[in-house]
Amino acid sequence: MMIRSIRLSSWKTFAHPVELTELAPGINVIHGENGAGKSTVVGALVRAAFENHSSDSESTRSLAPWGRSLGPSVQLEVDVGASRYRVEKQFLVQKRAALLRFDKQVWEPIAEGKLADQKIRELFQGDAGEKTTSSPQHWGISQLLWAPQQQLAVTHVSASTIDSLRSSLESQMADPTTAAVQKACDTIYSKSFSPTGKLKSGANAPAVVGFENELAAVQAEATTFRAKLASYDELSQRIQRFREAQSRSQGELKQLRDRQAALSSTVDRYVTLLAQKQQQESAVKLASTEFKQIEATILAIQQCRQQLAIQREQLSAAEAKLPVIEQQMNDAQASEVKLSEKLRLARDERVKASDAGQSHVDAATYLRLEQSCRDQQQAIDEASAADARVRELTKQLAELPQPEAKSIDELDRQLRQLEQLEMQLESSLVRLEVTAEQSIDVEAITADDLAGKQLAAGETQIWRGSPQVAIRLPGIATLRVRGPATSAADLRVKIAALQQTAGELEAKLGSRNPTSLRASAEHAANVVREIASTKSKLQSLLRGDSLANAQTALARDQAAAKAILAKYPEWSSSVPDPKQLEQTWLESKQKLDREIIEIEAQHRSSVQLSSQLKQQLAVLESEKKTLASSLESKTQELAKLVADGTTDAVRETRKEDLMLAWALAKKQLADATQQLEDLGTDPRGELATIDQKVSMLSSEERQIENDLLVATTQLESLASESVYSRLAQCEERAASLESRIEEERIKLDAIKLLRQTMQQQQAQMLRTLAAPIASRALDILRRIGLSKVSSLAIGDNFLLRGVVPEQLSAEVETSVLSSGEQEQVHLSIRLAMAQLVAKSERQVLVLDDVLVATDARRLAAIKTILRELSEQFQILLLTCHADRYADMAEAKLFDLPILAKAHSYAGG
Amino acid sequence: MVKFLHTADWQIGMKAAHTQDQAPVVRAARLKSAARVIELAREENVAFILVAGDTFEDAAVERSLIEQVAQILESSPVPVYLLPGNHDPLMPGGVWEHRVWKSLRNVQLMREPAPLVVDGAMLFPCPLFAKYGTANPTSWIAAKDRPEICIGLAHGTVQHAPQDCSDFPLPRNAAVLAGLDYLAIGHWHSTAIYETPAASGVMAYSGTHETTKFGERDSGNVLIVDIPSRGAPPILRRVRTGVLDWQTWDVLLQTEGDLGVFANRIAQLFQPQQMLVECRLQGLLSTSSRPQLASIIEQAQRSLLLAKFDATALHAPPEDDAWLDQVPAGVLRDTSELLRAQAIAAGASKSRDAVVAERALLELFRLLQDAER
Repeated sequence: MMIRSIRLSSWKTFAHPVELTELAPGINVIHGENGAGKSTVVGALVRAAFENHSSDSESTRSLAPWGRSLGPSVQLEVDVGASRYRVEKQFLVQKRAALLRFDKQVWEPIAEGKLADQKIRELFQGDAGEKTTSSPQHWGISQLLWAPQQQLAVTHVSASTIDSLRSSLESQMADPTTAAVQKACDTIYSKSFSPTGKLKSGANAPAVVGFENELAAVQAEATTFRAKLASYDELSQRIQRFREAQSRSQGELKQLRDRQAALSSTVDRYVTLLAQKQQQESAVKLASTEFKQIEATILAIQQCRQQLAIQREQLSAAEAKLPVIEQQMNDAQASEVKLSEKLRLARDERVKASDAGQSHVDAATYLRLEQSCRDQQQAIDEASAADARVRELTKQLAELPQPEAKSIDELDRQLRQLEQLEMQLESSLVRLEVTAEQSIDVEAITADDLAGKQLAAGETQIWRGSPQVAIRLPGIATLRVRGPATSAADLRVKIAALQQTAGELEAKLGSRNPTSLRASAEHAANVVREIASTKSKLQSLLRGDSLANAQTALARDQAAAKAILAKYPEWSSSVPDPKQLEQTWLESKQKLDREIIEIEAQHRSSVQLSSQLKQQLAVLESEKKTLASSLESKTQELAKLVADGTTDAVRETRKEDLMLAWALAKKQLADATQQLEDLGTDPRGELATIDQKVSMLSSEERQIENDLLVATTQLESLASESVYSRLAQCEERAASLESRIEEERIKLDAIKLLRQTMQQQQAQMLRTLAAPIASRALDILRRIGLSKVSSLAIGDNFLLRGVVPEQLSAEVETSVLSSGEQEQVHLSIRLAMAQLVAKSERQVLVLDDVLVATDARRLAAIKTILRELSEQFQILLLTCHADRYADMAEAKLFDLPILAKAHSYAGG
Repeated sequence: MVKFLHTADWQIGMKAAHTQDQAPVVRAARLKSAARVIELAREENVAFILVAGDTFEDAAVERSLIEQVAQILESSPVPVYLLPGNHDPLMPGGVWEHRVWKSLRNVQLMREPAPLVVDGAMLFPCPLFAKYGTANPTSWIAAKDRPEICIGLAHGTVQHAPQDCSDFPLPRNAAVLAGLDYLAIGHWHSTAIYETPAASGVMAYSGTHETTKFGERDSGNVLIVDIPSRGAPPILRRVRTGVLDWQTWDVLLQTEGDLGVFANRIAQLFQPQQMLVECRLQGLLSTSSRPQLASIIEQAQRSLLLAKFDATALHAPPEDDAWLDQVPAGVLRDTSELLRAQAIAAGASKSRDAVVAERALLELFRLLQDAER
């Protein structure tokens, strides 16, 4: 392919048509300054070749020049082989695309619209399809041949371009047979496998999928039948156990029932004998009772008669003793009354004495209060004086200035520093002293004081200044005196600053005199110390309490003393002696206590005697009543005992008859007891146990029978399902399916392995084929003069992975190289790939301002290489440095701004 | 004197997963052979038939099979004494609880270990009541002092016999120990006779009447037993009753001609539709002859009832690498060499990978041939 002309109209910066005609088949240098539209030309080339004319993308809309309503259009004329084509595209407005061929001196349309887009893409070997193709990955081999600005590095190679590269590389090694085998293998593989390598599913699934599904179903069914078969065995065993249990149960039941029958007759005999025995026991009991009754009656009559005689004697004795004791008790009670009165009188006396004993306590209290009041009054007086002093001192302190020592020191330091600075200023000033010999006018030109002076004859005036002082004596001279280099201005600034801070301190302290300030501070400190000392004394006097509280306590004590004095008015004239008062009271009290103890003892004896006599009297009266009552009841009892109307002799006869009857009954009971003992232990317990067991076993047997029925029904149900036969069928089908699946799987695995192995081998081969690209690029690099790179690493995707610097054996990223070296590496690879994909056909190589960092020496080498490549490629070099290519005599130069201007004029 | 037929292990309803899709045919053949046994009893004019256990494969076989077997047995002209074995023990829900057994005239099920007078002899049956057991089922028999011919009927494993289990163990001299003239036993599927030197009393497995699987040494028979008198050695005659012919072949292929011989062998088989063949192919076979082998296998699978081939031990001869030289250099040549290496490496361990690699190689060979055509 070769581009013959490019024509743009209404295209971005080119509002007017611009045309690059008669492009050279070799090198074309299209130049212009920045913004001249070089990249616009490249962009138009790309869109003419690959973009759909109907595109309405953002980038397409940006093509329209501002303020123009015409659609951006591009027209290319290209030679492909022996044919010449014209490509026409207009975007956005009146969109159109057309491909024409120059045939017999006439442009014949080949395709229009979408078809033209498609055909044009094919012409430029771009990717098929209607999608937008502005991205380099859709440019086909042009993504290797065309390098837009700042995109020299190949960052993505589309699958179709990789195929193109591969086909180019493989063309030397592949053959039709291999291709046919690979295709046939792919065809077989794709019948069974999806592109992701999984077995196909659904309608297109291979037979093995169906077999496996069926196998899963059959295995699930077999699992069910296995479980049922296990249930079958378990049920069978359970039924066997039930039957054995039933048999055992029935055997035991029979034995128990036999024993039950035998025991029943024994129990009947036992019960009869037991009844007889009980009857005899009742007879013995009755006879015994009757005998004992008559025996007791006879005895009771005798005892009753004896007791009546005794009780009558006791009653008579009690009635005689009663009046004597009553007299003794009356005497004792009279004595008790007298002693009680005497005791009361003695106790009253002791109470009075006790009241008299309080006076010595009151006397002591009175004396203590008197002393206390005196002490408190003295302390309160002193405390009042101290309190008044503290208030006075505090007031003084509030009125006193209290400058801080730190501030005074700071003021002192600053004043000394100020003094030093002023001395330094004075010494740094230049002095010009003028003594007039006659009256003269003096103008100060440079001095601290610039006021004009008129000096009378003999008058002396001094001008100060720094670093010079200049004065003018009009009509006479200008005098200039220069002093040392010391800067008086700096000193003045420092002085001013110090004066300001000293002034601030003075304002704060109230004085500029550090000595007087220090004296004030000392005085204030003394006052503070005295306040603290006085407060301490005050606290000591009041023992931490307040003055008011102390005064309240004093008043309270004074009131108490006054109250005692009111009770003992005589103490106001003579001071009482508490010890003497106490001694007198103690002696009186002890005497009274002794008297009371004595009377109390006499009184207690009298009370005790009286009480004893009272008790004796009560006992005696009670005995009398009891005896009278007992006599009465005994008399009644005797009357009842003898109420049968018989005599004592008749009673004795009856007693002997009853004794004989009792002996007979006991004999009969012994006989019945012996017969029961002969029968052994009570059989009724055993019979009850056996009855219970029989009942239990019968219940168990019924339960077993029920369980057996349930299990048998279940088993019969399972038996009717023929589970073993069904399981056998499932397992047979599963075995058959497994065999088929394995056969099918081996077939599929074999074809997968074959395809995979072929692909791996192909990939391996391609890796070796990529080596020539690296080798060719490395050759180009050597020619450019970049020898520090010893090899280039190119990946399976034909992208540069890294470089191996000569000093290192390891692969590193290209970023270790300088910018110029990086662009030379990328250019080398692009040129190497371009040579590969171009094959024998001429192709268009576009390099848009790609060598911006390459130095002149290497650029010269590159130009040599480009010259050689121009044999194979039509090269479009776009640059803003036309001078760099000026030495390429064979190159055709296009000055883009001039072309644009020419057409603009033409258009205007 | 007494003459009877001894059979066992009919295993009716057995599963035959190893016969793949032919399992129903194999099962049906067992019923057919059972009828053949009854027919043989008629031909041999025996006094009775002893079935020494495992008439059925399992308690849960299809109920219609029980009825079919009962029908076959009932057609016997002489009494049939049936012994429950370990596959069909006397258990609840077992085959013997089917009502059909109550209505048969000629068939007597041995329900308990108790002597039974039969035509010309005393029968000592040893029925089994469980699938598994470690007791000698004949231990109860004490027939030494009996004057009449004594015959035992039992099911178990003869100790030290090449069995893989020891359920219901039977001493090798069980017949002698029990004082029996003959002990008819079942469990082992091949015919086997146990005689005790210097003692009367023979024990024998009749074997199954119809072979159950590949590898059974001597199955598919019944025994016709003739006992002249008490204490006299029984005369045993083996009669084939099996319908199906189970054969295991080890075929060695060494030359191209061997394949033709093998093909002829298959073509000349007698009654191939009753034949089940398990064939292990060994030796060398060139890749170019593989299609011919495939054709022979296909033919065998069509004509035989069952034909299973194992060609994993069949390898390409070393000179067969010649075709690899014809493979175009490049991807295909490298692929073929790699697959060949994989097949050889994996072949040492006889793994599946070897089979897959070899199959892949064959596939490449086929595709190449297609491409060159």
